[in-house]
Formats: sequence, structure tokens, C-alpha cells
Amino acid sequence: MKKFSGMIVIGLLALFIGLVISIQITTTQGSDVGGLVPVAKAQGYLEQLKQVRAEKDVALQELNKLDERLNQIEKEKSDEDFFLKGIVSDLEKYKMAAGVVDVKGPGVIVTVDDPIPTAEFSDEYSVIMLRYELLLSLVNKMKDAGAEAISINGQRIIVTTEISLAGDNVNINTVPTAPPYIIKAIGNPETIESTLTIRFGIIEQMKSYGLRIDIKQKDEIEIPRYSGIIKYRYAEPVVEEE
Amino acid sequence: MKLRVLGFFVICVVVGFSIIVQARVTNGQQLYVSAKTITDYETTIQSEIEDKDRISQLIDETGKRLQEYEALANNGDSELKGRLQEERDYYKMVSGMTAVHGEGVVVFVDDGTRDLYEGEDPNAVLVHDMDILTIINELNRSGAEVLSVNGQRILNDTSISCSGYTIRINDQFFARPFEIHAIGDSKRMAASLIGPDGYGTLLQDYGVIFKVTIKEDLTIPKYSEEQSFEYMTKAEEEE
Repeated sequence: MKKFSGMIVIGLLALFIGLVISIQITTTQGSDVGGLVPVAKAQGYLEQLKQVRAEKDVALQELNKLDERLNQIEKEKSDEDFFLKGIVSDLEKYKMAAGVVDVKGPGVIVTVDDPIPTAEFSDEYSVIMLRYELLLSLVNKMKDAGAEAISINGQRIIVTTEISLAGDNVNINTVPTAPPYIIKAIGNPETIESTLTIRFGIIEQMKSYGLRIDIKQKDEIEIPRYSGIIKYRYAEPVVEEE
Repeated sequence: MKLRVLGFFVICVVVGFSIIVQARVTNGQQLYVSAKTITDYETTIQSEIEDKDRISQLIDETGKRLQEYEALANNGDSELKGRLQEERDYYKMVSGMTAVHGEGVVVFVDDGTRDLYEGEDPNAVLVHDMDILTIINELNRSGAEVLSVNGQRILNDTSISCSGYTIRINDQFFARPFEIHAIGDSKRMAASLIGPDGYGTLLQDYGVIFKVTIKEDLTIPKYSEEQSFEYMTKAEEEE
């Protein structure tokens, strides 16, 4: 027996080394979907994302500048004219209700991310994307708790906002989105949080799918405007008879 | 015997070395990420690009309006006044404070009347808030512009929630049956609901009563109260 014990040890070691080598080889094959991808490649995407976001910020600043000048004209003119002042202040009010201005206020930020991959929840598909109706329900519960403005991953929720599974993506306002989902809501932070975290409530329901959820109350959050152009092609105002 | 010990030592060195290399390369962070992370990145990038494009469109539009205003402001106040009034009326309509009419669909949903199977959950034939929400979501997906449920105009912050036997919309209570009115491309909206994969078809399969009617002219009332916001204020740009 003693004669073979050394060979068994060497055999085990050889097995171990072989395993290490084979893992190395399979993981570095990388780019094919389904396998693992080197982190360096992910970093490339991160850089690209940063760049696109920077470009978007530049565009937003340009838009803000234009808006500011428009407001200036409106203000100048309305200072001269009382009647015009009424129109401009009404316009501001309606625009805010329509969701076409950036707003800020107290509220909550909810982050929803897919489960950590395990045997039960594989990372082949996204749980939250398949169960996008959970997002729909979450938003509805926030509105129920009195949220005044809501956005998901920067997309402002307005009347006609759809959350739909289109191919592999969840589209919100026709813009494709991917997890993690960051949902911001302006309103009474305590009311919103307790509405969501009530026992057997929406957060518990989401957690039962293994989703990772984080809720934070904030004194001030900013929610961007609806970035599309609202244009009615079918609806027309009813002319009111005086 | 000596030779074997030596061989054993060499192997130990190699294994130890490879472990050290592994540990150092990972450097505390994950060395490999899953393919899903990459597709998520790709989608997010795509999303930001589309958002940026939409913002450029907004810039174009705002720029045009600015030029128009500047021209009108030079021509005298009355023209600018007219333009601003137009603008105000438009956003009044968008925010739900003006009644609107146009082509659209009427969706009628009611609790099913069929007998239940042995031991079946009665919820299967009842209409819930999630059903109404999903129908509205489907209608929005197929291009609805203005919506109402049982005559209540749906606003940006309208919630629809079950509370016992009734459904609460805009803080008013409604009971079955439910009638959802939507103005928009009527054929597209109807088709999306009653198609083979449509949500209406699914409800019908459960035994819930579900009907869609196409209307040439549909009127949706305005929101009946004042809208006021307690928490949100306009975000000012930093200088």
C-alpha cells in the first residue's frame, strides 16, 4: 500500500492541474455568448457607455440653454403684460403636469437587480425583464402612495408610457432598457417606502423571485423630463361651448 | 526515493505558483463576467444613444420655436400672445385638463359568469387592477394617446388599485363592469388586444368577459379636479 500512496497523491495533483488548465482555456475563449467574458472587455463597454452619457449630457446642456432663452423671452414679455403673465404661468403649470420639465423634490430611489446567479436562478436570462409586469405594478403602487413624478432608468413615466418586452429588451417609452433598474419617485418618502415594503407587498413579491432590491429615502432627487416629443395624431380638443 | 520527493516538490511549486498567479491577476475583482452582463451593457448603451437622438430632436424643435418667438417678439406682442396661448392650450390638453375626441376603441371588461370548476379559485374569473393596468399598458404600446377608465381621465400619476370589491382610480371608487376608452390608432389597438397572443384573448380564455369596439369618434372627458403638486418643483439649471 505504501508503495502506491505517492502515486495517488501525484495522480490527484495531475488531476487538479489539468482542471486548472481546462478552466483557463474554456474561460478565455470568451466572446461567444453563453460563456464567460473577460472583465477587460466589459471595461471597454463601460468606457463606451461613459462616452455616450457624456455626449448626452452635452446635448442636454444645449437643450437647457435653449429652454432658458425661451423662458427669458416669455418672462420679459410677461413682465410688460399682465394678461401674458397669466398665460405663461398656466403654461408652466400644464407643462409640469404633462411631464415635459425636469423636476426635483423629496422621494425614494428603488434599485432592482437580477438575482446573483445560482443553480436556481441562472444568468441565462434576466428575471426582472421576463417579469416586467412587476415593474408595472411597482410604478402603480408608487402612484397609489402619491408619487408625483416617476422615472425608470431615466425614462419619465407619463400617461402613455408603455413597459413592454420587445425581443430581448424591455422597452420603456420605446427606448430599450436593461437591468439594474433604478426607479425614482418624487413624493412623500415615508409613505412611498411603507407602501412598497408592506408585508406581502410588491417588494416582498419581487424578492420572492430572487431579485435584489434596495430602497433609499432621499431629501432631494431629480427626475428628467419626458425626452420624446408629444404629438397627438388622433386626439383633438373638444371645443367647449361658452 | 530521492527522485520522487524532488518530483513531488516541483509539482508543489508549480501548483503553488499557479494559484498565486490566479490570485494576483484577479486583483480583488471578478476576472470574468457573464455574457448577460455584456448584453446588458450593449442595451444600456443603445438606450442612451436613442435617448440622445431624441434629445437632439428636441433641440431642433426648441431651436425652431425660439426663432419663431424671437421673430414674433419683434413684430409686436399680440402675435406672440397668440402663439403662447396656442402652446398653453396644447399642454393643457396633454396634461389632461381639456376634453378630447377622436378615433379610438372602447374596451369592456367584466367578471366572468361561467361556473367554476371543482376547487377553482374564483379570482380566475374576476377582474383585477393588474388586468386593467395590463390592458392600458397594451393600449399604450400600440399607440394610445388619451385614455380613460369608467370616465376617469388617466393622468401621469393616476394609480389603479383594487380595494375590496371596488377599484380606485384618481381617488374615486368604481365597481365592475369596467370600460376603458382609448383614443389613437383604433385598428392597431384592437388588433394588439384580441390577436392570438393578445391579453384580451387570454382573459377570454379564463372566462372573463372582454369586448373591444372600434369607434370612429370617441370623447374622453377632462380630469375633473385641479392638479396640484405638493412635493415636486421645477428643477432649476445650475449656472
